[in-house]
Amino acid sequence: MNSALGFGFVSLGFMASLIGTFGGIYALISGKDFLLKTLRQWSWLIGIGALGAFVVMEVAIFQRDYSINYVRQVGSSSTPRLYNFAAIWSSLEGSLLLWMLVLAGFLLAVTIKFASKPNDPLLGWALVVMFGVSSFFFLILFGPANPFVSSEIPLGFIDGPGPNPLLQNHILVAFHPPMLYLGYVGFTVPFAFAIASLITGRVGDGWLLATRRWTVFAWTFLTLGIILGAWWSYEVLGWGGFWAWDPVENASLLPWLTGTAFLHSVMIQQQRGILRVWNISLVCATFSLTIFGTFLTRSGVFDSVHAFSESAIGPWLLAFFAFVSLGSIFMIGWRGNLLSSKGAISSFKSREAAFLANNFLFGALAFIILIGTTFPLLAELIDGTQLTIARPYFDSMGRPVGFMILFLMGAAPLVPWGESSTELLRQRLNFPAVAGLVGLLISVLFGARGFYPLVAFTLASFAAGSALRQLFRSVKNQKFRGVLGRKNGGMIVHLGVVMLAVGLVASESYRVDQVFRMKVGESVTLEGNSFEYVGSGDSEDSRVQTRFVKIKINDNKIYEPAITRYRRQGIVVPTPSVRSSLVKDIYLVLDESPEEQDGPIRLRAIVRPLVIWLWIGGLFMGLGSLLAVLPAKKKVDLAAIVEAKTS
Amino acid sequence: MNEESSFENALELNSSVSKIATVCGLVLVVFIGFLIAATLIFGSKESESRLLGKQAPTIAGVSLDGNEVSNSDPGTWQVVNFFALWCPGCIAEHPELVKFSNWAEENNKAEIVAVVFDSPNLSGIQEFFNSNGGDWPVLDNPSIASDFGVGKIPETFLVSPDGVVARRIQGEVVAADLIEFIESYSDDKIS
Repeated sequence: MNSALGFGFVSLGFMASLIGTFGGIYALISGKDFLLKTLRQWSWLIGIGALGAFVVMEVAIFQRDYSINYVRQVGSSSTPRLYNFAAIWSSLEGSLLLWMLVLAGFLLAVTIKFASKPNDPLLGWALVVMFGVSSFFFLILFGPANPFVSSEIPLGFIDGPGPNPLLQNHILVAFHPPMLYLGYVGFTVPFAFAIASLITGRVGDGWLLATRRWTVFAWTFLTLGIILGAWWSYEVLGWGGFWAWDPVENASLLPWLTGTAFLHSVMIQQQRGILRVWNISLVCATFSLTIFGTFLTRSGVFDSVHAFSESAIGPWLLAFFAFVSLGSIFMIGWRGNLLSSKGAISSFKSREAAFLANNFLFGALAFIILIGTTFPLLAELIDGTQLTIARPYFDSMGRPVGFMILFLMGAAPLVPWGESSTELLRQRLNFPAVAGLVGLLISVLFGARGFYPLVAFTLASFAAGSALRQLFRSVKNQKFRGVLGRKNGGMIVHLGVVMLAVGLVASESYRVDQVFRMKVGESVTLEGNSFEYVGSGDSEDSRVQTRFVKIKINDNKIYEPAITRYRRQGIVVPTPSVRSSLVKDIYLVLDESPEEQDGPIRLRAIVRPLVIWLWIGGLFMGLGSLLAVLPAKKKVDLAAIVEAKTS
Repeated sequence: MNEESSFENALELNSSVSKIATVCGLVLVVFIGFLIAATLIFGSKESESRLLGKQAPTIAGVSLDGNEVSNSDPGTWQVVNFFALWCPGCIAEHPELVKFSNWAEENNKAEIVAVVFDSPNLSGIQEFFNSNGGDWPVLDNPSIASDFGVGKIPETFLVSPDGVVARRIQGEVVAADLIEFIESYSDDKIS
């Protein structure tokens, strides 16, 4: 029943997507307005198909409808409700349902938002591109990764295993994938409008204005998704780190970098009318990279922490990536003559030059990461060498680029558009420069040592000074509205980046890590913190068996790192216990659990300063970019639209 | 300043756009070709095991029905199957293992050793075998799974008569496939 119903919804969505795509193309080419008006109906049908399929699968998981193979794979009567809800995206087929649901949501949002202009070919083509993308994902759900395949329940089958243990031991699992998908899938909207502008030849700024908020929205969720993923890794995986330069992590960073570059360079186009080719390329690259990232996650080419989602749809995604990326390049080449714009950047000391440098750096960073991720594969293909490109490569290549980005983050907001005088710059630089020096001084006073960290702290303080200067001035003039709008919201994002950078550098540079063999009652110290092994204990329910030890930190509160055995999966995972504060994190994880009650243990204690600022910084980045889409002044949009029409 | 304006010009000149697009397109084609090759070669799961072509890890212990099991001197093919009753694939593949086991007994070519991959309820296993067929020994020793590097079940290893891991199968097995592999492997050796 569920199986047939779910597959029915998938079929509905697939058909509606196909008809929308081809019917839309026909309507647009033949110019039949009455057909164009029907495009909206297809969006609604796709929405019904995607939502219906998702809901049916959730119902099947909660009903433990084991006639559906996917439910046999991820369902279990012992999974707690929240993780059972999240179980739908714990494996491939269901996560594609989530993808499709998000895509249908964006499609409907675009349809509703632009409902007043049903005959606009730009909108028509954008919808067609989105229908095309949704046809692809429905095709996957319809054929190679059909989540509703059912079969007779095998003899002796009583209960499913539930999701992978790593996907049911922290609440962040319920948020990281949906956030990431909102980001990944959200970039479909600017991509669709970019392609539509190429097809219609309306390559002016109209499509940029139409999609600016959508892009910021997608970027916000991609940022939050990545940071939540890092946080999950830190809280769950027990290695005390948050970023492993794992291929799949890198894959999520690539579209983030090109998307960030776009959010900056788009302002050059709006101010100066140049860089059209570049901007449209960045949008296409960002969308292509989201597909590329999905390919890396799903193809099984890499060993990765995300390897539980391997599948046979790798070749499909690769084909789609090839189609999207080559198609975009072809379209851009085809419209090359329209995209050209006169004018160039005249001064080195201008906002546009700073943004261009910023784009160069983000591009370089994306390239460094792409090479580092794919080169080992290349080496193994060519001569069978097993090569690992790990942290040292990314650290040493990324560090100088990161420093330059921090510097530009401070400098760019100070430089005006067009020409500027050295005198003006000097005057504006005063406050940030002092902030940088104060930051350096404070770091040294608090015991920070080492060349690179001190450079980082100085540059970060400089960037913070620059952002704060802008915010102070703006709040002084406009009161609470001073934190709204692109520029001010952007500065709050910058402050978030500064916090994140400081947290990153401090927690990486001053990490202290030690393993202790301890008997019960013993006490050890690390970095002035004392740890006393008070005793051990066991707990179990139908799902897990847990052996935890009680560690008293600084004669105060007790923390309980544990080893958790997931009965169904037969997998044992360490569960760390973390004491966080604004100053430092103390991370406890068991290297060896006690074999009997209160037996000897091996305890790993990690002290890392300022880790929490990574998460707070991420929050600021999300908050800032939401503020950035709220208008700074009333009626600013009207003015922008008039401006776009006249240009 | 000059550098940046020339960069700008390069991006914006009419004819250059098409030229640059062509170059980028070609680079991308090469990159995609490389990804296709990588998918074909590394995307298949069987090639992954570090054990392939190496001596199989020791299997020793007492089976659930109380017999000594060891692979120290097999003299015949051993099919090492990791399974559990909570694993849908393992239950689905059971009839195939029974089929294979019948063939193996008739031809005296192979024996199966099953290893429980974590099951809270071992008594159900005997019942499962009684009702579904299969009389091969079942071991309950978690260290075997970690020696073989098993992460996901069902997973099956084919160990040749000289004790070398010849094949790793992740996912459900098919009897005909196992039989064909063993037959052709023996032929290769003889020729």
